Amino acid sequence: MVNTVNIQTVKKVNPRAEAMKKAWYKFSRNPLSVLGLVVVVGVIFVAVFATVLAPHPEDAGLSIHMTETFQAPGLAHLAGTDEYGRDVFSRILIGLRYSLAIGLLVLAISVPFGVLMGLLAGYYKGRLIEAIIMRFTELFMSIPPLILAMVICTMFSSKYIFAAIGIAVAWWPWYTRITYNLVTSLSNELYIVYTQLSGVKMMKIIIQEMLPNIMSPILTKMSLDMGSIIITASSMSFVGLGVQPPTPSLGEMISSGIKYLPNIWWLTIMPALMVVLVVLGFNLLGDGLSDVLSVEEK
Amino acid sequence: MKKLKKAVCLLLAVSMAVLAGCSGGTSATPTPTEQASSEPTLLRATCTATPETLDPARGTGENDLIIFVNLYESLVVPNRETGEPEPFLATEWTTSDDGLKWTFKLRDDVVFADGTPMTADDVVYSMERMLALGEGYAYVFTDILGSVKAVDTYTVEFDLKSSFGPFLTALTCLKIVNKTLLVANTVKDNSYGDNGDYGKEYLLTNSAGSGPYVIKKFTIRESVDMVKNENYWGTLPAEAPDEATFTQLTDSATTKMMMASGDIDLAHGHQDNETLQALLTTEGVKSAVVSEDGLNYFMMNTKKAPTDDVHIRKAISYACDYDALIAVYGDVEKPNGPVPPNLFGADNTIQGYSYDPEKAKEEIALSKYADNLADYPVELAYIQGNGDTGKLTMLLASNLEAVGFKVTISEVPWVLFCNNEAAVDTSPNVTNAFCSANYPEAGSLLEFKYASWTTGNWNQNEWLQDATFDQMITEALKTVDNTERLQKYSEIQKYLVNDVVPSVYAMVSATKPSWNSKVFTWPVSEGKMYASSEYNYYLANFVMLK
Amino acid sequence: MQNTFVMLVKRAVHFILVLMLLSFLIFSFIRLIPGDPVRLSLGVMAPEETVQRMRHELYFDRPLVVQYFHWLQGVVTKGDFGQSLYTHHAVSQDIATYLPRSLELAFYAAILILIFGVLVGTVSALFKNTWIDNVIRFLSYLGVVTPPYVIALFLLILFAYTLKWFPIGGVPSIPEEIVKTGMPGLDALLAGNWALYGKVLKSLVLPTLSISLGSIAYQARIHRSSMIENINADYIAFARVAGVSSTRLVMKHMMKPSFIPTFTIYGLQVAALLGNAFLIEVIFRYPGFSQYSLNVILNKDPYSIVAVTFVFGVIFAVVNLLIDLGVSWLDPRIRLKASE
Repeated sequence: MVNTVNIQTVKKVNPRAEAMKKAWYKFSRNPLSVLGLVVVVGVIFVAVFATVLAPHPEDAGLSIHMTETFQAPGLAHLAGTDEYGRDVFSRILIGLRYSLAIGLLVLAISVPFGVLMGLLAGYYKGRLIEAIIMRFTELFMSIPPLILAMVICTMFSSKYIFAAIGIAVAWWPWYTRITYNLVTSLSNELYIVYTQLSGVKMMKIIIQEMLPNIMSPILTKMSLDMGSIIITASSMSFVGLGVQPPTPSLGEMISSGIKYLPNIWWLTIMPALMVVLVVLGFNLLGDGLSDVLSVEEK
Repeated sequence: MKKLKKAVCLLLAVSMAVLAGCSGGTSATPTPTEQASSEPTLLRATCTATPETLDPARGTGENDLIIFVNLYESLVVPNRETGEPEPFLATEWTTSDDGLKWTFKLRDDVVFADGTPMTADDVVYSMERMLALGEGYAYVFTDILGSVKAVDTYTVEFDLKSSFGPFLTALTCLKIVNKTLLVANTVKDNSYGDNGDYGKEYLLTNSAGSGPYVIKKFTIRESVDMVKNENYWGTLPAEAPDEATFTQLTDSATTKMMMASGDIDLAHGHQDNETLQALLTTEGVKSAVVSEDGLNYFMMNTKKAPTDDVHIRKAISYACDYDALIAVYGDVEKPNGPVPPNLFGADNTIQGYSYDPEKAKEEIALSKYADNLADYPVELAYIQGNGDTGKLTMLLASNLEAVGFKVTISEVPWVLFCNNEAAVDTSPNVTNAFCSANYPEAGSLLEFKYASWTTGNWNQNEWLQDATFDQMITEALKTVDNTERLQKYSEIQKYLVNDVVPSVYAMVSATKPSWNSKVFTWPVSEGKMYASSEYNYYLANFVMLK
Repeated sequence: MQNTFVMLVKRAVHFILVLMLLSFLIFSFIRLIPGDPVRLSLGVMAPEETVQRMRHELYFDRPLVVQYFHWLQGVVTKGDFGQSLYTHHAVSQDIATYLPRSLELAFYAAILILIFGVLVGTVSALFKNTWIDNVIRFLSYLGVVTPPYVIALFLLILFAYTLKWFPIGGVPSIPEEIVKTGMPGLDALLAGNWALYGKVLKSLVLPTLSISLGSIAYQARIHRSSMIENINADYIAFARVAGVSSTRLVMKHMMKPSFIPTFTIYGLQVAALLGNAFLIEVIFRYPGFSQYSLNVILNKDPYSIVAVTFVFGVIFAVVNLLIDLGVSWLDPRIRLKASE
């Protein structure tokens, strides 16, 4: 924002930058948080440059090597080969791209919307708007996601972006529900009541006072949801929504690999490890951020 | 704070211990011990799905028939080797010269499982019931059957509206049900007037046949339990299993574990190759290839660019690496034409297509899409979760790409797949599926696959709508004389392979059941397969070893 | 009390409106989704008349509104949810068969998730950023991201196949005459058959663990972060300064409010278990409600889909109500405000 230099109070020079600096200091003090950041940046980097980094990028397409099927992980193929003789490592890298995109897209749609709805419902507790919002969350929770996916698939197309929309439509009510409960609890806190009494606008209260206070559980849920979304996305293919073969996605690789367990374990375990890595990164980062946020409140 | 931490840890530890104790405690019970020889023998088999009902007038699927052949019987049965109809409940029959009147003499010693003797009335009831329901095999008879009547207690007469060559073969589809029992168990005031619900409700969970086995318990999509029919009129060997359970089990990891630990004796034949190899590592487990009355087809839409050009269809037939496809599936035959070699009426002299990428390229050059092939991507589709068809489609796609086609693949859920097939525009260029004859004869398969009146369904992505073919198949089905009919079938097969090229004939449809040879033997163990595959599961032929 | 009563009545009215809207939505969705369920059920070769007759019997040849109100009338007057094309039984009969099994499984899972989720989360928060916390955190990431069916297979391979502690899937069959609730364990208990109950319990251990491990991990993470949030809250610091004993502090002031997100997510997760355990039910051969609901959706079996969604509607409405009641118990100030 605007960097106004106030002569009278030197301490307040550029308060935002100051706060950021402090937050970063706090953040960087925790090695786990930094590790989280590194993993997330690394994972995104890998996803973006997957086709360059993958040893056999053509294996994400129609290439088939029937003479090299089911090779165990080794030097030739770091994560082994699958039932078509394709390099699992390359497919994980390229599959990461779609899975990450779906995870981020779903969160980008469902979290802001869900949290906003929760804030509104919580703030207007006892009014009609609360009842409407909360009953609609129930409605959307009750519709099986696969039905939503089928409808979306029929009305639009089966592109994976619509898979993301389908999952997001089923996902937002959870955020609404949790935000709503936090807000109804928070709005009884003394400082919120005082702020309200002192005539501060409602929007301002929500954004400045409430939002930061509920960020921690929301961030935790978001970072946990990365993994669940990647897995859920694979079940969307039951109804033909999502990435189509031969294009890989991590969830689809895991679910199509399970029938080869236990002897051919790498088809399941290797992509699952990648999902673990992604979720680990986002969680460490999320924890770090929520630590910083809750300290800022002090 | 410290105290509390300790307390919480203790609580956690205690509850862990309790949980561990639980599992430990239950583990003390020993695993089931081997059965004593005096106990009744039990065969435990798996299936991909249980039948939806025990009503023989409604089911036509492989899973239905495997159960039905044990519960119900028919006037004639296909011969084990040739598939030609042989006497069973009927001892002899006569045909009028025009082939319109068929008279059957019935055995007089047949009783149903409840002890009621079987008479001509039951046969009439069974046929009328099937036609009224309109499901299952009804369509085979609907258009050709004029009337059926009981001449005397043990004589039945069928009057046909038009001559129908495969009538006798088709009668293997008519399972005889116990009229007295069903009438007694009819729900009144239902869809079928005086006949109420025709006993449909009763047959959802009960059987009403004369076969060597009866239903003990049937839970849809879970399991079918059968026990020996104590009133069986024929001979039922003591070595045959006293009880048999077919459990629905699709998960391959569970199948492997259960076979290895001796919890199942016979695994259904639709395992993928990797699973089968794993199953065979258990000592005593064997497997066999059981051919079915059908093929795996790549069905090419003859009404949609670019597969509307016969040269493109020929190119695809040449581009296909048949050996690679068969390697995926295991030990099965490659057919040369549209009919599997063991089906009654197959012409095995036909020279089909073989893998030849150069010829494929030549055919592409001859087609009207030679210059702008890239503008016409070939769209391949397969049914989601339908065994290895996805793998086969991927292989063909990669073959097609290699000779210069541009391809797209889609994995389509069953409901959507069927819906897409309802119209020419939404039917993809190429689909892959297995198709089988409805009654064991070439004519059944050819009609089902290519006749104009079977378009709009998953079984005919070709949209052939070819007047010549329609004429030929109608003629052939009308021909009563076997040799003459076979001759006509042969001409149809040549016409399809040489002139029309509607499909790629990838491989003979087969199942690969695996079983524990220490528990039982069955004719399949000795390589004796029935031409109609469901008869392999005729439990009376099984010999339990324990 | 008065207020709670008014609230409940209000909620009941809303509840009925939601269910009606929900079922109408699903009916229209089903019309929207391509595919003819009747043709699918009868097969390719069934004559057109048979198909038409069935379509007529099922009200599929009438306008949507007519079909809907016919259905609604059946539900209200006879409790008749229509006929399933997938099982050929009355839909209400199917629900009565499959739902209790899943409810029983969810019940045991709910207990595990509550106890261990909270316990592990609390430990993790109290030992924040120590090695204990880090180990728990890592294990919970693992738990959260491993798909339940992978967990199920590992448990099955280890405990059932290798160690032979448990059966490889399946549930002991309950004799017809003692089936009352449809829940295998409860039926055995009601009949006083302890041996059978033990057997049922034994067969339920692995499926229960498979569906709950992920949720336990999830719950633990949520609980940890909301506890940490509360440790830092002003009033805790205030109370500490005021000399409130630390055990009391944790129990009363930290535990209770921390439960708000935990409890919210917990309720929803348990409800969702009923629909998400599809592969678990397949792997353990425990045909329950998830498997039924997925299959009817994939087969586009119209009346079953509506009924399944209806059941989910009821469950989520009840769970949401319980959450609201629970939250107001955890934080009495909410209750006060509502009654003002």
